[in-house]
Amino acid sequence: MITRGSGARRKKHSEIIKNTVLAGIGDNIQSEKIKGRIFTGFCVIATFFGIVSLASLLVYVFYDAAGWLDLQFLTSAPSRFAEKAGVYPMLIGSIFVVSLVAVFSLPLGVGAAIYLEEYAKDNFVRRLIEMNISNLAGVPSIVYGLLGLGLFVALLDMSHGIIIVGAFTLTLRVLPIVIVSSQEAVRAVPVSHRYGSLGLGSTKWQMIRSVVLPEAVPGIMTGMILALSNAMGETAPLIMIGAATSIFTAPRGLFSSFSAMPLQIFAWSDFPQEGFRHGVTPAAIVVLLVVLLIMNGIAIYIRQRYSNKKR
Amino acid sequence: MEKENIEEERDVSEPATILDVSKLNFYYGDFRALTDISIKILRNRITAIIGPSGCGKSTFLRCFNRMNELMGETRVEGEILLKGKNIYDSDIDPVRLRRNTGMVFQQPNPFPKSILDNVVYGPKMYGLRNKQKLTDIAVESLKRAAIWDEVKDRLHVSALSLSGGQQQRLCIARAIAVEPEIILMDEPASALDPVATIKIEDLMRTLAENYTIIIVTHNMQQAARVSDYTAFFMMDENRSGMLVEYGKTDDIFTNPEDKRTEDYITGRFG
Amino acid sequence: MKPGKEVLEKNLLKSVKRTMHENVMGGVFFICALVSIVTTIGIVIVLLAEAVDFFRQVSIIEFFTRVRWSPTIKPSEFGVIPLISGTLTFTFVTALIALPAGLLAAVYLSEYANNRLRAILKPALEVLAGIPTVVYGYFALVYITPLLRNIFPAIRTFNVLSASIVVAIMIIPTIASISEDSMRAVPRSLREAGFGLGVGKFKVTITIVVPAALSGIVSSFILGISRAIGETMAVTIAGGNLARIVNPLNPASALLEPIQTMTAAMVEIGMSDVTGDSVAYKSLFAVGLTLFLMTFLLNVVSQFIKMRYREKYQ
Repeated sequence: MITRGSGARRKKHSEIIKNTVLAGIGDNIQSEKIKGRIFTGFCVIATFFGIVSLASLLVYVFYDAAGWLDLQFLTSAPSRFAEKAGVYPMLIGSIFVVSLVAVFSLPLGVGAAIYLEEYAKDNFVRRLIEMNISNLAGVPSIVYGLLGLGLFVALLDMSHGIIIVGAFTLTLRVLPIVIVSSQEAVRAVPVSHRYGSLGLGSTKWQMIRSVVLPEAVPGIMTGMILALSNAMGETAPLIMIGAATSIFTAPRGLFSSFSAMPLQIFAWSDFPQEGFRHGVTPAAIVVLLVVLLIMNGIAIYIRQRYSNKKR
Repeated sequence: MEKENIEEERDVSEPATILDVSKLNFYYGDFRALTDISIKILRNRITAIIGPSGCGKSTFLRCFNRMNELMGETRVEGEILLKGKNIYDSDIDPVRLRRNTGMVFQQPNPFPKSILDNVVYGPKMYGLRNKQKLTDIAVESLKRAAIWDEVKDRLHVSALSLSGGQQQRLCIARAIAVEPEIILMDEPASALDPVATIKIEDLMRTLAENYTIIIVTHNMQQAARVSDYTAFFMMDENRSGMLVEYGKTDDIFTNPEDKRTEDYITGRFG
Repeated sequence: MKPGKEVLEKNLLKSVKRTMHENVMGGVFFICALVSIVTTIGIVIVLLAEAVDFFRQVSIIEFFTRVRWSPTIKPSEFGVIPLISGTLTFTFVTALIALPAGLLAAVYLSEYANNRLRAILKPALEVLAGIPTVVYGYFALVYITPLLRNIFPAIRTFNVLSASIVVAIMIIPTIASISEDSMRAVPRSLREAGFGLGVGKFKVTITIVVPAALSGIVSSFILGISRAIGETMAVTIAGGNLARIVNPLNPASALLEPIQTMTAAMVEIGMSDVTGDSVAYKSLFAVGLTLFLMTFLLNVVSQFIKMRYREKYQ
């Protein structure tokens, strides 16, 4: 509605708009920018908090381990005396058990992945199995120790704390990891390659064996190494199945008692003497970390090599 | 139609029917994708299947090697007789059928293996282990696929290092290596450049001396250039594929009997 | 020579031998997949069997209402409340650190970091998740607690805070990676709508992107919490073995003094020499069952949220 004196009023109105709205927007942008900067700062801190903390901790532990980590350390048995202590039996124990875990979990895990990706119809049963695997991945590892205790030691009457029981228990623990990463690797094989094989008159198993699996190998290997790294660091399940936290002789066979690196670290963390606290135990930690580093380095190497080779 | 003489380069005797399709109806689940197809494919001839997109040409092609079954719930009514035996009989092994019917896909799909390993893949799967025989087969197949000269020095190189056109000829060599009677080609040149396309078309004519070729193509000029017989498909009102007209390529393209064929050929639709 | 002529049989008929062979292969793979089902059933049976036996000797009511946990030292008493209190306290403090940090890190990686930075940071974060928990426990006990002593002189050798810090460091990558995936899945068009209206990046991120990715973020939180609940070695080494009820109103007592979580209690029993038929041995499984049920519930909820609400935002 046009009102009297609208000309002057309209002009004043637009002045008000200009002054309030634009001024408001202008102010708002400034404070928003500051808020944004602070926020970004927190984000950066959050991202680097863990990395920087871990880096510092690693520096500490490597520093403490220096001087204690030598050949004698790697080849001796543990001892009450820090100067004489070594990790040899535990190192062998760890490597022995994890190697067995590899042998058991590879066929089982890849087999399950092949079933889920190539044979199972997309129905309730398949979804149930996949959900179940997801759940198993989230079960605390100590519960797997109870499973090992109740199933292998109690029910199947195997001895406490022997290599084979440790290997079985840890296999069950890492199996979900192997299955999921193998599934992804198998799924990544292009459908056109499968049809190419079937179109030539191959059977399903021939297609899997000669086209799908070879292409999925890098992904499967990376998943395996991840799983084995996990197994290498596992402590609680081994405690539950009765593995010794400290042992003086390296295991000889599948039915020998054994101990593992993380278990020894756990035991030594109780020793308050300086030689242990800032010497032997850090050295043991460094040995474990170096083994893990080597394993993951192999995984990265495999992944690089295969992705270059194919394309 | 089958009694007429063909050009001198070909087999002079009357071409026989190798595949006799009789009232074929094909269902994906409840959807009828093909309706009452009846057609006789002749041995050692190139038969082109043309028609607008979506009218079931590729589905029809895949009926010959039962690849459709891999894609879900399917049902077939009618018959496809291969030299008198219905390939949909329950005692027919689809895997063995596919050994007799090679397939070349629209996108070249060599395996990420060496050229040699690609070609010998089929024979190896069937149990042939003798390295010398495998190599002989590979050489012969690569020659027949007109790619031998280009790859003879690099048989152990990855197949993925070849150009698109070369990869497709490699796929043809791979299909030939298992000595099929029939080669199915689903738009084999549509992903290739014009030069590579011409090479494929020349290759097809050579291959027809030894194999029966059925090719699906959306390129009418290609069908006219390459094929001996042409089948024109269309979608009916239920979106199901049907055969409108089938005959010698020359007749179809110069003097079609059905008006719909004429409309398609002259570009009035599709 | 026609290639391959002598190889092939023109016989197209099915062979019984081959059909059987294919079926056998399919069966073998099916059995492999079944192992996972058998594992779950095994866990449930083992836990239930021993726990039921335990509850025959110690009533469930006593288990869940008594406030003293002393399985091996006479007079033995099996009240699980202190352990639950310990677990919840530890989990709460860990979550307090890890959830916001994980989310902020995810925001940074998804919205702010460029591709090169992301390519370095993501693997770096994965390293955090790959360090064994024993090592983290040791770090907490030997390096972090002394450091914290400078800030909180009253801090005990074994305490909640140190353990929480290291476990938070350990689970930040999990939270960050799942949340980041969710955020990157939010379509660009949504962000551009915000920018087009003249809204700054900070506001766009917290008012558009994060809400759109909420289901994945919440799911990652629940997963992180579940892992903290199940965490064993770090909290056993650095958190102590004092089963007590934590007073939430006294933060100093809550953070700076030792506790015993359910998992640490299980380790304690596991390392003592209890015989297979003793009540103490069976109490191990009762606690284990409780732990399993807690994490199982959380994992199911996390999966449910991820599945159910994913469609709503995409």
